[in-house]
Amino acid sequence: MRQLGMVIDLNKCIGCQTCTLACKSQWTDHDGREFMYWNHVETRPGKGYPRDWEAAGGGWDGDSLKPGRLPRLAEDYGIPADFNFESALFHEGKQPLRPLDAMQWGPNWEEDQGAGEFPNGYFFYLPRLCNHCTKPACLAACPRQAIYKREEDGIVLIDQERCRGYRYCVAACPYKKIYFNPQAGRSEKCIFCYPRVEQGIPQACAYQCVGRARHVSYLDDEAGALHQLVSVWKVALPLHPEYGTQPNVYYVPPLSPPAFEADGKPSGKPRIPDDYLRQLFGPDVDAALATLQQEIDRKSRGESSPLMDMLIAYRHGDMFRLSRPEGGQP
Amino acid sequence: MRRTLAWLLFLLVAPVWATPGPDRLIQVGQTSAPPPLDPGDPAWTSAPAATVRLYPQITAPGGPGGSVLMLEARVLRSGGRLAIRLAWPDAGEDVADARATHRFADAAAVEFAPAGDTLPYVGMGEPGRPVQVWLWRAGQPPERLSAQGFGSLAGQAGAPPEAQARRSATGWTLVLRGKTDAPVPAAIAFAAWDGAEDGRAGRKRLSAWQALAGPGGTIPAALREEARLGGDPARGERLYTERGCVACHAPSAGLGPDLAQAGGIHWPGYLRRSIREPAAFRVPGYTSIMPKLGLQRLEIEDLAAYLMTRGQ
Repeated sequence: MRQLGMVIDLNKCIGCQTCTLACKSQWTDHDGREFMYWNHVETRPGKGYPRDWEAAGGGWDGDSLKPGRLPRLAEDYGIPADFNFESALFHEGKQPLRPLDAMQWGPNWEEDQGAGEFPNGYFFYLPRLCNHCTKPACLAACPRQAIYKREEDGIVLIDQERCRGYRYCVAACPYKKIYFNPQAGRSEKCIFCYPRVEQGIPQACAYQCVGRARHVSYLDDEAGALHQLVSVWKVALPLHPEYGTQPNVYYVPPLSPPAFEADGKPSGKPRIPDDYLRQLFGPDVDAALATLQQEIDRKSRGESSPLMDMLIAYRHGDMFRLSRPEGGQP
Repeated sequence: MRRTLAWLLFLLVAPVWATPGPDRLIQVGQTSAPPPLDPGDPAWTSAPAATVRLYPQITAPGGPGGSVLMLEARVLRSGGRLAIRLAWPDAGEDVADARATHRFADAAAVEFAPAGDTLPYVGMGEPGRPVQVWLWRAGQPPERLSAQGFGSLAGQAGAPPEAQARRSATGWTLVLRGKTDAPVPAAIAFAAWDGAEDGRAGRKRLSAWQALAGPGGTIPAALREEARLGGDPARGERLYTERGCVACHAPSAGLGPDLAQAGGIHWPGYLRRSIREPAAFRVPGYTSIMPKLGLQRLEIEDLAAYLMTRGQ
């Protein structure tokens, strides 16, 4: 099986949500999907989207599935509220723009909130989408074999004809990236833009990224960013590898400026605590950050760094290698 | 020679067939008028009430646990249409909600066995022996489906049944009315899901096949061999122990289906087939490791008789 993967460079993500809207306007803006964000960007540290997804269970314990719970629409995802556009925008007065329904949560609820105290506050953005895992818990949890992983690119899809809305997959996905559509009575998820991929066009979220933060290639394509960043440089890591699903979306972890000591002098420690990044990306994050820093230093001394060149992405088109090897079957 | 004599003697003293339990036969009421859709229609009094036990599903993972639930079933037939009225306790009303992602609706289903002398596996049928299913989920239109084993449920062409449900403080009364594949199904079975316990898929309670009574209120001739119950349960229990059946057929072992409710949800014919030809039908989710036990015919009868005492 070939596996298409994505690397997201968290040092370049500016939280603009262009990816979120590129995805939403393409796939989830109608028919019960309004609340779903197949791709979203959450601010970390935080409870994320759906709320507290990291505490909702799922994933693997060795070869057994761990139990998980189903997120609630209003409390954990957030209702797709309407706004008072009419009165706020087209009538005189000082009516602020507000949602008409009382909202409890949303896909970007904690924007820029972060953690830490002045002058050492910190946050960073974490874009999230289906990881198209190598060992998908969702697929294993479905009693109807409605979920399958494509041989040609490893994209994980839910067969909408077979799905009967039992939601074992929603509970099993530790990233909570499968959404139940209560209007359709079926579960739905990121399709890795397979209709685009089949035409050689990158996923909407990746292609629209204004920060050039997303690379797409097949894992076995040695010239591709995935192989280079994940296997050669080892600077791109899966989110929560301990969940056991072997994700295929990888993250270049965020570096941060030094924290200030009480006397106002910079300490040698990064503003984002290493421990927090280890929680998210596992123990390999230390080596990844060290490599990144070393290559940044090299570049700033005017030396060459193929790693930095790749991450800078001078040419947008170089970030995506979707064409199949010659003779490969589409 | 001695064995042959014993067999002949057995045939003389054993009844030709005996029902496995009082809850396996449903008398079908006949009406001249179309069978009613309203659960409160007085015509329902003309259909005898059958009390059917619904057992928590324990064969596949994810069953609801808990206790047996008693369901009352009445069946009326008229003009090629079948109407089935089900009443079962359910403490809280759970209805499909287009604004909830984490809740499940109460539901009930009727499963129909095709005509023939061998009933399909009661849990969603089996390859080559399909079952037809009418499914009702509270707050949603009823569905007409068919299945040939776990996970194979699929929509079926043709008009779905009509449904009318009534909620009381303590439970549901539901009428499903429509045309079945077989004008006269051999048997029907029931299932109920409780939304409050996240009921869906195998998280349900289900009954054994219930024969629809033939003329004279007896088991239809085609199903008599399925229903025939001979053998000595006490000898069967000894065999069950001697042969170490429990080593696999226990929830803790997980190697074979738990047989704690075998007598409640299976028919003697199915149990005999499973003992005689374990590989002929394998319950999905279990590997085919059960050996042929090489039992004598009478021993198989004894074992089946013992298993029929379990869960009743």
